[in-house]
Amino acid sequence: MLQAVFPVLLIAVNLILYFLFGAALCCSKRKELSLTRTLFAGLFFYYFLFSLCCIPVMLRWRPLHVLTSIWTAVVVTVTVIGVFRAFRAGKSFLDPIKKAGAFLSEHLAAFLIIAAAAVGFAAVILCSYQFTLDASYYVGSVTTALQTDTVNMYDPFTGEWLDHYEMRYFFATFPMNDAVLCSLLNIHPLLWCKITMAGTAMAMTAVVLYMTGRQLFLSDMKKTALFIIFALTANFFMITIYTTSAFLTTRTYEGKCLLANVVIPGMIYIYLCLLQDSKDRGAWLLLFLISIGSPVLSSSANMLVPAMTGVTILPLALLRRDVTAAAKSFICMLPGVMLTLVYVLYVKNIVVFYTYPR
Amino acid sequence: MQNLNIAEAGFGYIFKCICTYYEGNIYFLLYILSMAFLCIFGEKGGHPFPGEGFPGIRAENGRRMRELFLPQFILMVLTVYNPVFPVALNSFFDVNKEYYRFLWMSPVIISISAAGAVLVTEYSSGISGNGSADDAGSEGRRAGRSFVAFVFIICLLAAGGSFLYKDGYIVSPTVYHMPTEIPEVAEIIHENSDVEYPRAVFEYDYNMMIRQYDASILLVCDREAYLDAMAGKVTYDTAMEHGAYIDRLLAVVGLGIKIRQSRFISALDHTHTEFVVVTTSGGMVPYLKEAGLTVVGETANHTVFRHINEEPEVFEPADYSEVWRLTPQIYDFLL
Repeated sequence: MLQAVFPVLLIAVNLILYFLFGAALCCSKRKELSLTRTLFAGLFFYYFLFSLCCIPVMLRWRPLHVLTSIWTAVVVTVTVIGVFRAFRAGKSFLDPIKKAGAFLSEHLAAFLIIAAAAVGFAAVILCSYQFTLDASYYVGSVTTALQTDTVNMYDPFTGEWLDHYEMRYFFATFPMNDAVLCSLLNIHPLLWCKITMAGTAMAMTAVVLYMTGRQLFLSDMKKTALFIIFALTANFFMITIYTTSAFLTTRTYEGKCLLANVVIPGMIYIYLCLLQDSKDRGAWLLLFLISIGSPVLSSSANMLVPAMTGVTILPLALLRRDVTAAAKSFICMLPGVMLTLVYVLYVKNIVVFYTYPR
Repeated sequence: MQNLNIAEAGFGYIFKCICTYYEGNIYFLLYILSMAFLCIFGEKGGHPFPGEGFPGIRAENGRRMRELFLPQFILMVLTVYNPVFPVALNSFFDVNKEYYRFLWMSPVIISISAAGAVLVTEYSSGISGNGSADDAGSEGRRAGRSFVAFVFIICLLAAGGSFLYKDGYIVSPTVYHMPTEIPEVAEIIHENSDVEYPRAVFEYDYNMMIRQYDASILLVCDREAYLDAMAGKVTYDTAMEHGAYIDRLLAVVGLGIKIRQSRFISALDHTHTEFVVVTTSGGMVPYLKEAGLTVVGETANHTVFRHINEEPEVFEPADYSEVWRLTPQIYDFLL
């Protein structure tokens, strides 16, 4: 079981990386930082940057080790920028940390309950054995990429060479990020996918629930703690193979787990923020980051994120009589809509990306 | 949702989709009830909108919750839950399998949990008495809250009608979240193969798991073929058809159908399959021995057979060096 310690520690590494990616983007002297918002923004910025690195490598048929080297350089650069900007921001970076510390000690009991609930929830899921069919694709594609030193060029189910990239997974490069990190950290894909990424997904879910709870109950920690406990508990009972809970409790290694439990609830959180202040620039930035970062998690995001933007932000534009909100939400819908169109062109045999030059 | 078809179900699709999505649990109903509760009663205090000065007036505070939950719900009713919508969408692209993902957009868990939190903190004092400020009153309030919280969790359980671990909680046997025999089987295969990428066929669950552990083992039967076989599309007759090599492997290894052994061997030869792995107690071990396969190893529950191919085909990963030379990139120094 000592083997499990390293992947568990890597959950923290993942969260620190996301935070530094968020800090690189959000830290400034003028604005006070929100720790959870920075973490949330960092997740999408991280995956957006990864897709910018991964897709050109796929289109030029370069091997996985090239992608690993490029991504290492990007991660080092962005984290250095994140640390640098945090230091430069000085007071506006340290103050929220001090405030968070003070808030935490003020509501220590509530935080302990939340932490216990989240850790308990994660421990129950991570220690259980589940046979899920989709792992044969999602984990299989990570092991296949590592084995062949290629990016999405072989069929994960059989190991045979593919003559073109499967468009459903072409922009959803989440498993390739797993492969890159497995290669970088020299860890087996099963440990990475089923412990580290599963734990990361659960931690991010808890973070989003916390953000939503605080926003919903105006920082009433008693209600927020109860809200999180009820939400985590409900996930054990709203179980069919289709529900968001099923993805959180059994298909934890998939990008869809993050889509269902972090992206969509995260968009509710953004809606709550915008209801209070429809000009909240940070919330709009988050929404835009979701729209460009979530297609990496799953191709389902290409239809769900624009749809979710429509059903949350358009009513906001009406409620607040804010035309700019409608325009901004339209911009946030564009990436998903465009990628959906590319997929339609693929289905109609108009656009195909081959795994060799033609 | 493999079992639902929009073209067949028509306008009734969305209702069938919701029923299949929730599969007997009443969380959707609980979601609507919790939303109604939040919108009508809301919170007793602490609303952010100025000028609403009735302390403890529920209707005013409900306005905030109404703004949070109602507009989205109405738009969802007009679009995602609208019987016409899936039919229209399906005419542009096939959404049969994925339409249920639109149901993720309803904040079911958030709404129910928020209602629970409000119920426990704001509406449980009635159970515990007058809510006076003295110690006894405080104790009573706490007891009342604990009771309501407990009842609410029971409601969550009852509404689900099921539990994630209803068939028992199985602790993962290995840190890899795989059966302990998977690494052993992979090792036996590599020890007995002369090639780097041996081809093999396994029973259903191992076929789905082995490449997650070791991607240097190639599989002859892909997932869709296996799922079709398990769904009953492969029978003795289909397996015996001319050229149905994969069906023959699936019939014998996946379904335990004893087809003519010469046909099975020809399927192994044609697909260049070197290894067959079956459950020792599954009843196919004598059949495979009779067919001429050699036992090369055993684990606690599985037997690994080897078949010597008459015309072996060695798998070689594609060589892209010429492609890289012809399409130079600025980052090629990393190659």
